[in-house]
Amino acid sequence: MSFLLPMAAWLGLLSLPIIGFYLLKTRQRRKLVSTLLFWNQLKPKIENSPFWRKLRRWLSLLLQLLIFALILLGLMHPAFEWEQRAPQRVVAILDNSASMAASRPTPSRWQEARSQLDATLSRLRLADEMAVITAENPPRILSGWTSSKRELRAALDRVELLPTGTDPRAALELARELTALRENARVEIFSDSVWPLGAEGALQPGMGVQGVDPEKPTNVGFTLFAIRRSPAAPGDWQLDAEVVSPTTYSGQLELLRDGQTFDVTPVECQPGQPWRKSWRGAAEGAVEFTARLTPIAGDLLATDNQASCRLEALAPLQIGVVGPADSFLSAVLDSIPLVKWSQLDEFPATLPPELDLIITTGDALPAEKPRGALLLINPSRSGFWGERKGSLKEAPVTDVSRLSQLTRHAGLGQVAISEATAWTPAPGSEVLVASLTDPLIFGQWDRDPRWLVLGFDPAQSDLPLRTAFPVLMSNLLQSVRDEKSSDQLAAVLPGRIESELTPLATATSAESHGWWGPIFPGWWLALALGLIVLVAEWALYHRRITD
Amino acid sequence: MGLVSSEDHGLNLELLRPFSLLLLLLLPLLRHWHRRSIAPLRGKRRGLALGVRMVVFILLVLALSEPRWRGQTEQEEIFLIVDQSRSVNPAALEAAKKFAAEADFAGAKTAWIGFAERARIYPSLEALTEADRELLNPNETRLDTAMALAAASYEPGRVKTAVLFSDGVSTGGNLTAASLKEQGIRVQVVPVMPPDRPEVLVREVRAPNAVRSNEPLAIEAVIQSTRSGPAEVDLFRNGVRIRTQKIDRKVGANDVRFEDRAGEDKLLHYEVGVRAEEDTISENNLAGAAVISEGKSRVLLLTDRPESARYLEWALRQEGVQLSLRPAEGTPTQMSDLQNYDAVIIDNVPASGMSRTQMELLRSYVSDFGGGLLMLGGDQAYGLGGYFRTPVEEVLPVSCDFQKEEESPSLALALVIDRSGSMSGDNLELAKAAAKASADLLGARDYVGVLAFDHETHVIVPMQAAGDPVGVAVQIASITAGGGTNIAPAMEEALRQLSGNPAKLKHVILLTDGMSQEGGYYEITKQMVQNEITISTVAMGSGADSNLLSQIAQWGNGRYYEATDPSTVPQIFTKETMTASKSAIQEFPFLAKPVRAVDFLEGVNWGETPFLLGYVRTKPKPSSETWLVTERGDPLLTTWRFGLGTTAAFTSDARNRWAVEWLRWPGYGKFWGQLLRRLSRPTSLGWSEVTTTERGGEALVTLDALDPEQGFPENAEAEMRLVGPDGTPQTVPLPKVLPGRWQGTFPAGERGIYSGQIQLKSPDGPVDSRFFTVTRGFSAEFRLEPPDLKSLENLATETGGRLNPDARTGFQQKDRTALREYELWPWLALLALLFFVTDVGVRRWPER
Repeated sequence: MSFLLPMAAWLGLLSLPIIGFYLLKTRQRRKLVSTLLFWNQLKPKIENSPFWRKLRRWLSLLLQLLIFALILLGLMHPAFEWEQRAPQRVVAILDNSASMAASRPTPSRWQEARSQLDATLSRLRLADEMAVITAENPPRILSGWTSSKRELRAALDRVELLPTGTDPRAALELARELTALRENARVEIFSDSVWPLGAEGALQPGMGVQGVDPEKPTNVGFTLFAIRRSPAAPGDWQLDAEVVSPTTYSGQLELLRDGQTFDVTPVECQPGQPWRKSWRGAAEGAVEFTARLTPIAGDLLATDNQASCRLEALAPLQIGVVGPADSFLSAVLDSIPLVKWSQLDEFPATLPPELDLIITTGDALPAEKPRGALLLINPSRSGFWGERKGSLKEAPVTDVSRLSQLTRHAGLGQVAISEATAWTPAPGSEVLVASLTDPLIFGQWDRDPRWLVLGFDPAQSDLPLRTAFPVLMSNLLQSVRDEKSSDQLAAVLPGRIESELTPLATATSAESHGWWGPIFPGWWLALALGLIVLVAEWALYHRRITD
Repeated sequence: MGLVSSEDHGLNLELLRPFSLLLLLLLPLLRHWHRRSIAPLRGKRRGLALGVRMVVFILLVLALSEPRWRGQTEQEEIFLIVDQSRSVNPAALEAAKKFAAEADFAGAKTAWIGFAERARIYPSLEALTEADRELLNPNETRLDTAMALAAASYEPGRVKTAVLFSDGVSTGGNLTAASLKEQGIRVQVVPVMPPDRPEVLVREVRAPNAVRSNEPLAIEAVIQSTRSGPAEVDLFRNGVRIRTQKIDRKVGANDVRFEDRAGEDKLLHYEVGVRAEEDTISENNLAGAAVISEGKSRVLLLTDRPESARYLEWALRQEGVQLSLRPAEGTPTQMSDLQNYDAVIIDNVPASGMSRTQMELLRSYVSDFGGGLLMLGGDQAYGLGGYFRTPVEEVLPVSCDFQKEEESPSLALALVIDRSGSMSGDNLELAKAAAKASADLLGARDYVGVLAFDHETHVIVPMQAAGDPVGVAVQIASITAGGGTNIAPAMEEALRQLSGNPAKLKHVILLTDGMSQEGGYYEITKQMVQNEITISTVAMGSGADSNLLSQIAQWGNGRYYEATDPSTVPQIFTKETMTASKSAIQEFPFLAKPVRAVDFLEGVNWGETPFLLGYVRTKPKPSSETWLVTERGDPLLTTWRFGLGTTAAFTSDARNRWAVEWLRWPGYGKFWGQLLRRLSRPTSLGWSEVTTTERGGEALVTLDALDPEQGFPENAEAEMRLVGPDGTPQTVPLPKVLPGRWQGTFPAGERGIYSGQIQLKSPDGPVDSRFFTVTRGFSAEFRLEPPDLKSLENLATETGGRLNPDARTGFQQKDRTALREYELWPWLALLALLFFVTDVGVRRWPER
């Protein structure tokens, strides 16, 4: 214990008047007696103060000096050990990642972190400062340097738990910078240290982590619950689920499709070995899945026990066909589901935004690369797609790209072409099908703007008569079909790191006061004690126990 | 614990412990006691005593509620934030200096922040000017980092202002004016124009991601210039200049186009460089793009004598395996170079011919990228090549040490190590490690002695039986650096110790990094030779007396090594030890004997194999598989899987020394062809595709996989191994995000090529693997981006600041205030004290 304002001791001189008041001779009250007999009865009381009266007087002085001393003590600002130091600067990093919602069963890690932060806040003196940032990347500054507990508490009230994990490295770096130029500045991290591997390396010496749970965690949770349409066939979808648990888990998963039970499956999970399952189906309309896990006894994290995702309805592809009508092409386009096509008279100067693909044949050719996807069937002249060199007779298909999605399952190697055009493809284009060194199908389909050249007239080959043609067109259209962007394709989940709840840092204990209740500074306790004695002394005085 | 504020009601009063006010409920009790009092107080004094006591009580209760008064203040704190990135340096600093010299901050407190990628606070402009800006990484600009640091650093109770000196061009992060406004920070912006200097740079290089073999491709580059004039633009493919174009560059962007044809390399790394007379920054003159080609299956042969590998090259060509020959100096230094090959053969190349980094790259190539590695035997292979305890030995299926036979001649080895002052640090530690490794290699019948010398000679380990390598290692560890260099006395001591030794072979390894005092080196060496002692010398670094050392080695019938890379010293020592022991090489005719049948040995008639004439003795590792052995049972061909790849050790050679009979053998080509096909990494099934995007110094890698028959792979996991420009391998998490899609990010801030290998595997085994590269060119910092005046203006106006504020008058107007807190409890407590004295006085003052 020491005093932060010892100069206040000079106020102790004010105790002299108090003592002086007790040294003053108490004037006896005037008492009129009618006879000497009564005087004789009164005289001994006046001349000889009884012992009790003396004691009452000294007790009164003692209590009043005690009240005085306690108020004076408060003014001298007595400081406990945690108050004695020079003004303190604390950068508090608050982890608001999903794992902080873990509870055993109450309070949650988040509530514990908040309590610890509140305790740190309570210990702040006027000269102390604190800044609070979150452990997100980039870190969010909840409050810059301030000594206002009100501001700090208001800032803390604004922060909410995230549904996902966080990486604290950027926050640690910022905190380090914030403490660089301030004396007695330190960083305190309120976190369970469930961080990405390696993040603990960013901890500098002296950075304490409060809130690390040393006990082995118990939890089971989804780390993946996502649905996606297959590029192989329109309407086909696949739903994947992944479950992890830091302990052995045996339970079941209930899967609901649009609110109706779709599947109930047992889940067996070993530490470090995720349980995985996929479901497949077909739906052109929107579909929503929800899955629930049977909670494990002592499950710490509830937010990862349920997940849901949604697949939007398929929209038909809009295709514009430019050039003379081609019955084979029309038949193929009609046969592919979810395709709407229309015949255009000429290549449009500006492409209608609703068109997903333009197929052009013969002479109807664009001057420059259009924005969307473009299929050129045997273009009659050179252009941005390449240079037309002449014609090829009896061009056998010798090379078919194995890697391209467009040629998959098409069996183009069997196609007989009686006449094709010899092309020098534009540099940067990819040759998908070739006859010896001459490209037959080439283009730029891996990046926008996408275009593809069918370098021969299908009528001059047996392509329209083979299944290769619809398969090729189907592949092409499927690749154009964008996955409708939906935020709910994958459920927002805490992630594997958060669900496994493995702490990376070792806990450093908070400055211990034995409890997490309100922290009272020394001056407050002195004044409170003074108040109590003040009230007691008042009561004793009026009962004439003191004088 | 509660907290009450009356600010909303116009009173800037805050009670931190409002619950204390509940104590006021005791006031009626005070009054009650007073009413029923039997104390001798009368009349006005009685009422006054109650009043004063109640005041004291109320004052103390109020103090206990810890009230704070929030007063308005105009005190301002200004952070002057200076862009120190290379694009505006020193213009921003100059602008800040000029501004500071003219400015009247009207009593505001000022502090400085220098920033580039990182930000740092400085107490003064002088401190900022003198600070090492490299610490901030000036190759990047992060405005958000600087503003965040400022925002969090204002002192409490200050009006917050920032003055930003920058061109507004950020290379990462996202700065939002709204958040600054929310925090009450006014940003004044002084836009800084990049200095008008002659500059030419390669702004962008475009090339297709993937091409087929022999497919033509275009490489397009944009050359940015601030001056017009001639320039030469070079196109490099895998480090070799293949084209040069002369251009008349104009101010602004200049398009340059090259055409090339994909050869047989699997990875084509194109770089476009520009040269002009007038140029300031050289870092931005080269930019590149990587193209993955289907390429052909190729094997890289690293050999000490390329001419002797023509037999193998010809035989493998017949088997359809293309062999690329390189001398040891051509050992790849980048993973992107190694990726062009499906397997690597090390043919009699000593470990000292490679750096540690190159060996670690080979290990990563096998372990992480699935490449194959084969080591052939020879007098520079395995232990004789110094591979003992190297990353290459770690990969090989055999150990480079071996159990010496009883009949092999014993060796007495004297290690004479320079411990002079110049050896301090890493050099001495490497020398000590080398000495320990040599001692470890010796057998129980051998002898070892260690001498350290400066201007004097210190016997560290007296010549003794080498049966206690641990004890020897402890003694070696005690060597410390200090003193000058005098070799001759140390050589005399080595001669003395070895002269009477009973070992059959006696050898000295002398290591020094400096120039020695003169001495009778020739005489001492000749005495050694007369005593059948050989001596090899190692010159460590470039400061050693190479003439003297090479002469000593020549006179002493030993070998001379120049270890310009000190990290190769341990390899040199172990190689010397193995060579001197003369027991690793076994030279006699023998037949290769298959141990058991295996697919890659099928079709080879082992009954008709001719003799091999020698091999290097090795020891198979526990989990390896030996397929061929010598007639003595020593391993001849051993393989194992290491990580994703497979390695093999063939302890004889494939050239006209030990395998001279095999060259005419019809099965020669078939054997090597089948073995190398077995070692080569499997080709991708083409089920998966990798796309990479780069943003803000991070690369996002997406793997999309689709089984053509089954749809998205089920129950599969993806693993990504990555080797950055520094050659260090690392594992990057690649979690599944959607059916058939895995995504991960890694920091790609360093310039160069990042090579990655993604392995997709299911519980049944590997599904597919994909190789990809990310080429990180120079930072956006060097792109000569014009100042982003619009965003700077937005930043200023949205936060209430101005673009180009007047330094003299801009801070005069005090139109904002901040709240500052004052504690009230001390004043309340003081009042309570004074009233209490009064209270006592009222009660004790004598009545009249």
